[in-house]
Amino acid sequence: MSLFNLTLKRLFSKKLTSILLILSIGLSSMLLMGVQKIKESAKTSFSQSISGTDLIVGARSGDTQLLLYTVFRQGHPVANMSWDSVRSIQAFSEVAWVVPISLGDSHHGYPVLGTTADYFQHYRYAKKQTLRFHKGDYFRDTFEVVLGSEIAKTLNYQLNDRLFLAHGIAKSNLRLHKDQSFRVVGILKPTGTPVDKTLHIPLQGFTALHTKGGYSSNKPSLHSHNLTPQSVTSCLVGLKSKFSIFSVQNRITSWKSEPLMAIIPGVSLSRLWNSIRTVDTAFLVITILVTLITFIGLLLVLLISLQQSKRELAILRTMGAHPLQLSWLLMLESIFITVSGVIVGIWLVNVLGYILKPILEVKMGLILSFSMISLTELYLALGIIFFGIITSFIPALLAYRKSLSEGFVSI
Amino acid sequence: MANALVQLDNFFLTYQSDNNFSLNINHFSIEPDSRVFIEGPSGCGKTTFLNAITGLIKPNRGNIHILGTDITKLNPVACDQFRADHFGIIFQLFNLIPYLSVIENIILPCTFSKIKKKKALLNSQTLADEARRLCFELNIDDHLLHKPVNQLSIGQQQRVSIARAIIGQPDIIIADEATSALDQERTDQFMTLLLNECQTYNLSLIFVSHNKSLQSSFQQVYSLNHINETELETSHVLV
Repeated sequence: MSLFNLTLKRLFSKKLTSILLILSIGLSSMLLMGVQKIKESAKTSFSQSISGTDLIVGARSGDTQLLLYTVFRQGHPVANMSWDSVRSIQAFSEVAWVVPISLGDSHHGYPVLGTTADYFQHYRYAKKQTLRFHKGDYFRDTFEVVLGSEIAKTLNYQLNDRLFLAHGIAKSNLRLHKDQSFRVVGILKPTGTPVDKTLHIPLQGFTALHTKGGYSSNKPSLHSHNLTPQSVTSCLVGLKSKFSIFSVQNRITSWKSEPLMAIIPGVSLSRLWNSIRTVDTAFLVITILVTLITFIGLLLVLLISLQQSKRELAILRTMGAHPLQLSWLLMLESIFITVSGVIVGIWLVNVLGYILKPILEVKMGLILSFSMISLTELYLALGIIFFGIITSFIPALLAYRKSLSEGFVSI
Repeated sequence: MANALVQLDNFFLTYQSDNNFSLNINHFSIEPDSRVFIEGPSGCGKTTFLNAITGLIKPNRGNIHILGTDITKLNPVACDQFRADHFGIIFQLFNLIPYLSVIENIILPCTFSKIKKKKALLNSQTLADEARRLCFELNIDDHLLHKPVNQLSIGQQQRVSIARAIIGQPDIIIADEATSALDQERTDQFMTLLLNECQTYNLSLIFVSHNKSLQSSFQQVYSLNHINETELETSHVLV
């Protein structure tokens, strides 16, 4: 019988303790890996919320602010930019496309975004993925709306449903634009970005909502009115060549007719992410503490079991086991427990992830990647196992010293 | 001249923590193929003596020759290996590893000694077969063999201990108060079995006990108080 077999038999003889230890290490490694996983997924889905757009242009404010309200629909713009500016930028020779965006209205707390049909062609998220339709198509008429996947799901809207929009952004409908109803013509597929929570209407529709006196969707005379907007909140700009980003940015920043700014989405996104890093670090510190507590528990159990197995170690010693072999026996035991714990932890993370994945996606727009074990997870797993080995040194050393100084234990 | 089984010269051992106890043996030897009984009251150093001759503790001074090898000169690993190869040891109680079956307990010494393993495999095809054979010799019922050892009676446990001590036929069997937990009838049975086995396999036996009534079964009887040349009267009063 090898020492390894002996260790296994020893562990089996105290099933309950072993299982509890494995479980507690499993839970703490699950916590450690889970937090990392959520952080990574959050970072990915955060940084992937917009791509393919070279510049975001808006009235001069802070770049974080512009990013927050244009991409994440959070906060309010300080000022709008004029339609003339939008058209001027569109006329730049370096510019390939411009998609104007108007914000400020809501529907059951979900933001309404006024834009052009180009939006569906040029908006990209994640790795340059385009928006795709689950049902229907993009809007062609003033009082049509395209819904983000989450809105359609939670508010249970179907194609051709009619809905009213409210002025301002609040859950309780403030002031409904009662006379103007919008017909659902398209529902987008889930993207895991704020697009899922957005109602897209044509810019003309947005203007119609805000024109004094009000246009009614029922009035046949609508199209005769000029629905060209005076101003928009911001616009997304795509360039013909990446090389002109900085020159175009400079040109817009030094715009003479009104104060404008242009931001590069990727740069501003990573700046924003860095600013919320502290929360993330706090989480990590807490999970590390939890893991530490688990290992103190492990140490405690190992020490108690060492006390209980004094006799047994003495028997092995008299049979010719060297103190090093006895230390090895104890270390093998805790390595076995730690490794099993980590495996349980990985398993738990994946099972929980599998269960929580759809919930997180719908509720928080967080897309988790559970396809395989990431490098970070591997490092964490190895780290925990390493910690387990370090912990087992203490009882192993005690056993070593004790068995050197003690021979026969006579009762 | 044949090597003595055990030979102590100029031997002195004392514990740092207990200055009142010391074991001082100028010269003592046991001849090969002996069945030796060493008697002494508790506290006189019987266990210390056994620890010393099995190499578990080192004396402060002096030499211990076992079968011609001076074990005080061996490094710790070699010393443990020497013990594994040449000794079979029986304690008084709780001799066995609780989470192993009877068979597993018996073959355990072969884990630590290649010599024992080799000798055991000369007798039987596998180690488990050898354990079974010894159990049969020692009247341990077949149905007990795969039971956890803590389900056995004390008498049965001590018989398993004999099997474990003699597997692979080590040169010296050491019994430390092996019968103190047994009643008179079981003690007699145990002694008969142990001596028979030692006879069968031609093993030397060093039997240590405070129970003088056992000495009738042995050719040679020593009293540790006579071997130990420390002034015992004082240590007795102080211990």
